[in-house]
Amino acid sequence: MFSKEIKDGYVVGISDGGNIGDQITESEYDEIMTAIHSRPTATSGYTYRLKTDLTWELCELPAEEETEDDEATPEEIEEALEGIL
Amino acid sequence: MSIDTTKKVTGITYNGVTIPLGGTTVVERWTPTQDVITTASAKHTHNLGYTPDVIQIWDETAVFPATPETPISGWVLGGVVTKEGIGVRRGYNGTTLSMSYTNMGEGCITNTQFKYPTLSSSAKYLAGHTYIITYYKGAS
Repeated sequence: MFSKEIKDGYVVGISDGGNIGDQITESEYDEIMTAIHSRPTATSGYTYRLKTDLTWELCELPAEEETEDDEATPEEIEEALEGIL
Repeated sequence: MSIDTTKKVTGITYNGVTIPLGGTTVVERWTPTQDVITTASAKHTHNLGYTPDVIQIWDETAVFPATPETPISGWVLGGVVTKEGIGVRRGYNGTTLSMSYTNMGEGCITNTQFKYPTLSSSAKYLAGHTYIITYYKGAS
């Protein structure tokens, strides 16, 4: 299953195997992926957003929000990763 | 770089409780078009129909070693879903590994949707990178 997520008129992501919004065909998925790979590089403080017509729009980057940084101890890390690694 | 899809995960221990796996495994490949610094607004919904026990996230686009500009490389993210939230593996810089636990808040983890794990502001999902997200659900 291929899908894309649209928010405020922009394509914010695509998924292969998930359901993140509107279902799309594999060919549309490939088309969007091609557009993603041609994303221009923005200067500091700016970013490019992908419009639904698959053209890039330069936008000012919003200020980063601080998030809590609750770091685990090495023992907690080891315990939590047991069985995965 | 590729993910080892042949590796069998049999269980995971969290806070002394072992969650047996071996049930359902769903793999998704997600590619954001913008850098995603996880905040309350950085929401991603995956209609699984159940609550996964473990979420692992692999950046298949990144190359080692990680740098300050690309702090997420390879298999740096993994999550153990609990009622408190998701334990997030982050900060792998080639030599060390760290993890943080973030309370995702009421309603963030349900049987149909959850938000991506919240990372520190120094780590983010990178535009154009493809993340392989594996959802594990143990046999009931």
